[in-house]
Amino acid sequence: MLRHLFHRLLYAIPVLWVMVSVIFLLSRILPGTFGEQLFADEAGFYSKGSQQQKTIAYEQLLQRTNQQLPLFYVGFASIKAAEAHTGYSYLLPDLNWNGTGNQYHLWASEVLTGSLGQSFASTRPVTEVITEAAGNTILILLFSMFITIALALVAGITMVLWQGSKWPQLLLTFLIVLDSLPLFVLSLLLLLLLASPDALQLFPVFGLGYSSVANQSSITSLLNQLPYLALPILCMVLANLPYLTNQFYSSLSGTMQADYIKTARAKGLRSYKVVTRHALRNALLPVITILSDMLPALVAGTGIIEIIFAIPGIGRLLVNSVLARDFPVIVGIVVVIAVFKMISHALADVLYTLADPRIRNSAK
Amino acid sequence: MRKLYPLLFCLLFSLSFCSQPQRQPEEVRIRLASEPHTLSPVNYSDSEGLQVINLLFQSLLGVDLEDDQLKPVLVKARPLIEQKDSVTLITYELRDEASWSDGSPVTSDDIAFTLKVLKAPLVQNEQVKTQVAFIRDLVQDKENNRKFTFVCDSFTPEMELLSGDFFIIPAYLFDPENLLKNIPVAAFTDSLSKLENHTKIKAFAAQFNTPAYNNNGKILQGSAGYTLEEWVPGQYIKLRQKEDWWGKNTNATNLTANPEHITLHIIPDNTTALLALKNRQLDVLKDIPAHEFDQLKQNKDFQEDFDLFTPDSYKSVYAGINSRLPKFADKQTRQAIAYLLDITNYIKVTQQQYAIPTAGIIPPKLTEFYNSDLKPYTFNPAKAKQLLLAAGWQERNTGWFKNINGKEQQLTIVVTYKAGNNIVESTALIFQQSAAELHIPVQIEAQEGNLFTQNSREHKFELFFRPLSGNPFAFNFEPILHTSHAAKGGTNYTGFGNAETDALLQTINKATDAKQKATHLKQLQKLMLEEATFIVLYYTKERLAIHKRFQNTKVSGLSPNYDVSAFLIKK
Repeated sequence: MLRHLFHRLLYAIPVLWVMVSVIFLLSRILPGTFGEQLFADEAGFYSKGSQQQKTIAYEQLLQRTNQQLPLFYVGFASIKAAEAHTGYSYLLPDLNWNGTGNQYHLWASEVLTGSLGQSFASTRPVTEVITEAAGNTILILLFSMFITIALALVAGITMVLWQGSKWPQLLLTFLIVLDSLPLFVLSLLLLLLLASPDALQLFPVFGLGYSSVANQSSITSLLNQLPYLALPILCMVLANLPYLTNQFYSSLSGTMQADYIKTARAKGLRSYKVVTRHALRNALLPVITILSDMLPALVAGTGIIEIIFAIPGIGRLLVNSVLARDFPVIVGIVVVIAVFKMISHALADVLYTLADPRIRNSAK
Repeated sequence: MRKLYPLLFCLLFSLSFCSQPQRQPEEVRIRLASEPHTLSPVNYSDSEGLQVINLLFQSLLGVDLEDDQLKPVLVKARPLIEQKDSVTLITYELRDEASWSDGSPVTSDDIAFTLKVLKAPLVQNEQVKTQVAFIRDLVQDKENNRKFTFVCDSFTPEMELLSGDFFIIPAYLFDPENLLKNIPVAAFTDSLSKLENHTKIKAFAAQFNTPAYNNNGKILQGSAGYTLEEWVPGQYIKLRQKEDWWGKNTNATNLTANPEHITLHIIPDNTTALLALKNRQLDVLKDIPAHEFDQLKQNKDFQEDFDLFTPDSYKSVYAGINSRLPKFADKQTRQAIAYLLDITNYIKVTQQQYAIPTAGIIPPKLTEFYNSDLKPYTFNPAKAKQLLLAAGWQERNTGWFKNINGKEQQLTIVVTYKAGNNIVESTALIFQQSAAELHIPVQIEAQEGNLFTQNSREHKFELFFRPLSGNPFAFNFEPILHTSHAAKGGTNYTGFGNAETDALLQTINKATDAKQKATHLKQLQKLMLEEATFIVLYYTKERLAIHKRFQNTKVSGLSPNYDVSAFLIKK
């Protein structure tokens, strides 16, 4: 099993490298560079420096951040040069060799030494910036995933057990309504309902409270932050609950038609035991795949949550970095998400083998 | 499975426990819409950073928001300005009381050091260095180490303001090894390429460019009344009042550090910030959306604790027509388009009446310079039709047509704006409906910020709506209106201008007499209204709320719209 896992991770490395390289190159194709917006501020009544001085300062910034270098080892010749061609030779692009003095080479060399570079905006190491932001995101993701899975399981099982009564229909209707609400609307609604003096003022509105109570243990710190995290977690749970419940329910319903379930029933087992002891394990298999695929969507969701609830995290950092064209941070976050995705796939493999002994045997 | 139910109930219970954060006594809580990239006083790039740095460091001159006047801060008086041949000499004298956190006095050595850091190559100073590029040298008074003279290139009207509008940093904290001490200021004005290999400058830059100089409270200590106590990234920035701050020993009313603690919370979303205000988790909130502001005005509970303010701002929204395009080259066509701008409706829909229509680029509140004889364009389709006919356009069932350069062309307009700006988006939509009354097809395009700027610079637009900001101190319109800035890449996007307006702009900049300046500015507004290339629609009003327990809030139309350091708790 471990050997199989090791192989999976080993094969994933080149895929990861190609993926991150593509993201690196694509992100730099975005219009604008870091700093361009800062120097392109609307000219007003009061100009802090001439256009010429601003251009010089902008070039200095590009040089400091290596943004003036060619993007890759090879580059395309300009359109004007291509226009000079005769016949059909223009169909073949003119390539320029840029040597190792290019942005990709510098970035890749740094990555190979274990560094993701420095943030253009804050000049801090990207790993430090991401680690700082990741803590809250991971906390929200873990809590919300755990609660969502538990609730979805309960809801799925309940609907299967109560098939024929009106409750599953009511629950499904509620879940459909919930599913139709966009995450940002849901977040704002919960804020207005549960953190407003005009309705119920149960939760704090924003942030994570003061951390200046220095030298507190991580558990104390977590307990202090929990009231602030409650609403964001609730939003994530409600946003993901309908889809996951539906998956559990359809998977369980399908499994309930199998012959071995009929046998279990024929043995006189109670419905509850039939579902939990015999059907649930098999029904979990497709759900494991879904869970391992959910990570990027969850990170995207936390972006919205983090902005609305003013919580620093990976999602908000990504949005801000894209807007500011802080390329090292953008690529750094993609690397981290890709690594997590890889690990979640490997974890899914482990969970498969735990859920289905046949897979465990074939892996051996 | 049955064990899961109690566990779930426990979880739900733990989620529902409630708590509200405790307030520290004498603390003012403010919202920042985004996190500052840096708190470096020589490389800040955003207004949030500027707001915080203003509480840590001081400049020579500063605006007192009490009366929107430029007043001395670190210096005794406004500077003495002399024009000699091709240079301008600006002389200042520092206050005797001015001192750093360690008690040592602020001297002209610190001013020289600050200039060197701002001008030095390799150092992260790109954001602010352009502002002092006009200062060639600094001459220190040999007998008085608090007196000095800036030697500046030529003369521009903003020089007084610019020469006093950069933060002064202490040499003892930023250059403890005195690496820059023996290099004269003038050396940084000539070619910088030689200095790039200077060992001491390289060593200084290596040290200065580390993150500590952007965010560490032990280094970021200026002469202002506060120190950086804590910066929790993405959450808040906490400042603490200095004990025995020198500013308290002066009679200057613009030198204040009254609240003991100031906490600036980073809250990106407007709705969240508004809820935090209603929950009394914030004491001050500005940029309140107009609709919500009206609701707050009706909320009696809220009004018991908060005062609402609407000072006239120096921010406007304008429509820019690309006069380089053949179809818009004719003045009458542009005037016709101006008569399709329903400014009253824009103000009603996008600003909920919190704006003032303007006929010119000068804010109407500056009555001395605003041309009150002019009338702003009003929505008038009949007049627009008349002007289009006069400009040679022919009306048909499908629209308006004209033969331009031997080709028949239909009058269509593509309106662009920066994506995400709801105000200009609504403005564009209303304009589309207005133009439809004359059968002029209008296509609306929201463009990503960088692309929008790039297209404006490359003249790839037909008509855009964008904001414009100003102040009451300097009226240098050359960058946006002079033809020397109208080439591709320049900041005169619309192509406004001719020999007459260019000469007028230069006269405005040279005018030292306020009356003369006013006459020229009024003439410029008249010409701009006639040309209808750069049409300023309205000046907005700020909308902010401040807790009633504070007095001396110094609410102003100038950013950040209040002076938090002046806040006093009502007894």
